[in-house]
Amino acid sequence: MRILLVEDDELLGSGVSDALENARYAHEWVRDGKLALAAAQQGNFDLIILDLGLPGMDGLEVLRHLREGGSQTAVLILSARDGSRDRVSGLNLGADDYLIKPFELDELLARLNALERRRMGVASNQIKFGRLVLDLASHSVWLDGESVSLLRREFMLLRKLLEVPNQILSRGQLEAAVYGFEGDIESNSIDVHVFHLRKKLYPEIIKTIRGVGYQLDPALKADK
Amino acid sequence: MKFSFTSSIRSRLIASLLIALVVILGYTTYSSYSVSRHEADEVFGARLATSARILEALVANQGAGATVSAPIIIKLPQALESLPSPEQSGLGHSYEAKIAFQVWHDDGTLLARSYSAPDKPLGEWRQGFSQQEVAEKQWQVFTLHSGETWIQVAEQDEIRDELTHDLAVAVMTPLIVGSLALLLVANLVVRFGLNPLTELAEGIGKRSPQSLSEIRIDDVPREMTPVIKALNALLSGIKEALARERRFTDAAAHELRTPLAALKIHADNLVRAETDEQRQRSTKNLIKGLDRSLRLANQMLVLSRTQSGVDRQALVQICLPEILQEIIAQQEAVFATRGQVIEASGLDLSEACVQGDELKLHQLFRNLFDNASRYGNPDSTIHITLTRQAEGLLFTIANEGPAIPEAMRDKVFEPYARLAGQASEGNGLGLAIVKEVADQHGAKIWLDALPDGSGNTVNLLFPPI
Repeated sequence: MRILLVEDDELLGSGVSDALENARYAHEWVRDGKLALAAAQQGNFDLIILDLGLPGMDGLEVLRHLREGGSQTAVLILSARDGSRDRVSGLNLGADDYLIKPFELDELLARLNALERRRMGVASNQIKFGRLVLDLASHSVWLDGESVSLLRREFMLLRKLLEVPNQILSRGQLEAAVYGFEGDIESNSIDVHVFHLRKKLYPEIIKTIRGVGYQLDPALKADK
Repeated sequence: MKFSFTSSIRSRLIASLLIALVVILGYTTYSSYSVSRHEADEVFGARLATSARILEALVANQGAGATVSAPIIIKLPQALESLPSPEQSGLGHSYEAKIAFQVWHDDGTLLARSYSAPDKPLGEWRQGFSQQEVAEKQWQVFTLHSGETWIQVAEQDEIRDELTHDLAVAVMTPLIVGSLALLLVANLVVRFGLNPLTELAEGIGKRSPQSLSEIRIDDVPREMTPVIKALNALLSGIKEALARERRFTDAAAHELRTPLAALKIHADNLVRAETDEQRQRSTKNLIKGLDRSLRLANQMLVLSRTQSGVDRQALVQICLPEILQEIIAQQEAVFATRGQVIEASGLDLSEACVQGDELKLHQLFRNLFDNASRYGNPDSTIHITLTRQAEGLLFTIANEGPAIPEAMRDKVFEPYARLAGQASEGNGLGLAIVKEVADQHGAKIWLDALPDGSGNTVNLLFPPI
């Protein structure tokens, strides 16, 4: 899941950014309302964490423009304004959730999780997929009931593939999901992660579609 | 309920009208009574005299010579006494009993009288009109002396009273009925006339406390427009005050909660850190956040102390060139770290002194210098001038940097105001403190953009002492 973090406060932004990194979410951070709108319209994000008091353009304006433009991207508002007026107008404008500063990190992560589950159409944090079980909250993976230890990027790659089990994902899409907009990615890093995943789980779990990308084994059925 | 004339325009109008009507009707009644009475007196008086003369012609001369053992008494037909309305029988009039006459001889013998007249003289032996009380009734008497006889003709006052009364009633009845009708119509007219006011009141009454939009002037009567205009001015004042209040609470919430949220998340990150590098970064950010919260707390205290005036010092004479040189000396090194230099003029101005609170003025100038530097371009020049103007001492400080949009120039002096695109780490209290101190010194402060939009100038004008 790719997240767009919109927060003008340097210190708070860096904190949320670190927390997202720790929670294995690929994300990009912008500090200005107008840039946020541009990024959201072009960047193919799955979720936007949106501050309201922004320079350039107010957060509510950004949200209004997004929804008027037909964007369905989930939006979680992060705001210091606790008046019901702002909360209601935020939700009315199509925000999916509203969190007031200061907030518990656990709560932020739980809400991100809930939005992720809603997007993936699953009811619980644990997604069963054939012999595989993946826990979105604890970031752990089991194969045939036995815990498998995955590295951060490996987990992010597997989760991305699980989001759209029937689709072929290009190397670029996978890189965006795993690395966000980090510039220094080795050209074959996705291939390396796929190699490790096949080794730690079993070889057939990820199919290579030559010249296109990768896909989760279509023979497997999601057990939601 | 206490009736008050001012409680309702309608009651006021109706009550005034009622009082006016009562006074007018009272006067009309009185004058119609007196006019009727006067006319009745004249008509009846003349008739009385005429009757006396007729009696004189018919009776007096013959009677004078006659010797009579008993006076002749002229009776009225019985029917006049017993019939309910003798007028219709053609026999006479019931009033005839109220008219009497007597004919006396000079020696005091009663020669003749009407049936209704008493045996005693109706009046004194004096010619002319008089009023007498006989047998507990008031009589108007006319006395005539002719030869050896006295003729007295009298008439009970009741007749005149009744005529006067009847005339007055005849005049007043339509007047009173008309007045009552007028009062009723006036009530309706007043109600109709006040309809726009009632409608306006209902319109205003239906508004919710949030709807502060102006009341439209075009559909109210002209007489009410001054009221509406005043009301609209009040409404827009309230709207502006509410907007300012909202901006303030929003901004304050943002400024207070954001550093706390940042502290919280960095602390959470520290607890969850998986590597030493993460731990170090979170710790560093925690300290940064604490510094910022500390600074914010200090600024808030300074602002609130300045506003409340609890630490107000005695005013002393402060010469601006001195205080400015002191601050420049302190700040130059800080400016140098950003590559900025200060260019000052007018610091040799003589007698450029004001009465002020030294600590507060220090704070004011320090904040202005700090702001000019913080929001000025790196490696630029900060210009300072001090001049004497007709209106007082003018201090200006100008930096080179993004010009503040015109719409924001007043708002920057509000607490927690932040400008769009402002990335520097201000908390929006610096200029609010400056404004407060300036206000307390009676100084005017305002913001200008440089003519080419390449920077901002803060002007501070101290009025002459």
